[in-house]
Amino acid sequence: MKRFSLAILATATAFSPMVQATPMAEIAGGTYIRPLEKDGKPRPVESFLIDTKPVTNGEFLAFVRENPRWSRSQVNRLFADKNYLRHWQGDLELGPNAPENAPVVNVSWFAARAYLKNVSQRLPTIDEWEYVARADATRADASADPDFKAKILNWYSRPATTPLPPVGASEANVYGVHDLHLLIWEWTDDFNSALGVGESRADGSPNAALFCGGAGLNKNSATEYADFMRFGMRTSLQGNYCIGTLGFRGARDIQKK
Amino acid sequence: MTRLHYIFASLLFFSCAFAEEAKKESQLADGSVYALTSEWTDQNGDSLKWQSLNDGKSRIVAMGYATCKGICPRLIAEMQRVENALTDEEKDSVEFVFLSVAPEQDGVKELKALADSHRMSERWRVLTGDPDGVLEMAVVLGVQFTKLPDGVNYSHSFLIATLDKDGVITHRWKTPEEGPEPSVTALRKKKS
Repeated sequence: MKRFSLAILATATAFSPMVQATPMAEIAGGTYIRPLEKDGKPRPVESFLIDTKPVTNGEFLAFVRENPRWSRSQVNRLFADKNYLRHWQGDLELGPNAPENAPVVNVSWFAARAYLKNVSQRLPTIDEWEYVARADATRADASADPDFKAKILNWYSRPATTPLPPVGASEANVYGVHDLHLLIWEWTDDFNSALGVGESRADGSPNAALFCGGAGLNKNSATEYADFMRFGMRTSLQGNYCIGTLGFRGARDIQKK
Repeated sequence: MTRLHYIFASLLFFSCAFAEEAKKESQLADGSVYALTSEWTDQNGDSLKWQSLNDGKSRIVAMGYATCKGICPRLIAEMQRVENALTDEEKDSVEFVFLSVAPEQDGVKELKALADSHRMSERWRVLTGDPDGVLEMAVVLGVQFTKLPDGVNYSHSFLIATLDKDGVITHRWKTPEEGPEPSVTALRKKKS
């Protein structure tokens, strides 16, 4: 239990000029095997901080107020498609479909990065996100438990509710992090690296298989279908896509003393 | 010129310069890749702001890395097929840009060697940048890339983008089999 210190850091407040910052959890680094990688080579994950909850409509509204070029009517289509913040009532009005405490969705990768840059944070990488998301309430790695994955898969198969429930309402995982599953999907910084690096390429000898970008995902068994859906989702994204079930949370490097 | 005249003149000058700047900002076409603010260095060691390429030229753009033995030589050769398909007159308004996904290993020397080995014409720029600028460029163009576990090589998608004179992406060439024609057609297409 000591291995992953449960320290929730209140220090994050100092970095956020606008709103009450979400507490961050410190995640002790280690290695993990990325889901769906058949050769199963462990990947290192450095220690890092991650928000215990996704960013909310209320928090994102405060950002848009201070940065009007990120409002619905002014944003450049290169950075956010026409669905950007479509569940809000107006440029600076949340309305009934966007409760203040619900996670903000319909935000692009660029918008998420702009928001986080403003509070000295960044998006988590795929490896960071997946590393924390293996945990359930009692285990740092519940990924071998078929029930854990079945629960996630079951959620994937249900249509999203409108409006979305508030963040932080579900049980925290063993790190004290809420809502990685069962509320929304989340952006990762390197979502565009999910091009199915598989057997032939992971051994460091790239070959003609480079031609086939996203085609290499191999699912090992039915229990990995949830992972397959998540990685497949990332492969299908573009940086300006805004989707009603896709939000984000902040992460940060741990400053070396 | 009296001092007052001088002040008026400079006020006029600055307000014009300011208005010009504001106009430039709003003139950026919606969806223009020149909204990216990254900085790059070319094969001659000259640094440039990406936005400074908003000069009315069309561009054929791809990403890769200098030591790539996989898809990159093919990417560059295919871009040259596009170049060769153009008339001399058309060539004057088109530029070819190859951007590195591996700024940590691609310096000016590597870029220059790449340009030389492929006998790139004077219409080519080979650029290296910083990791954040590279990532944003890749995302905007739709290039997927990842460093391989060997720590040296990258896996990245085959993608050649056509940008119109406003920097709007008008075509993405995604499979080698497609051939250069659709990209050439996209280049020739005039805005209505």
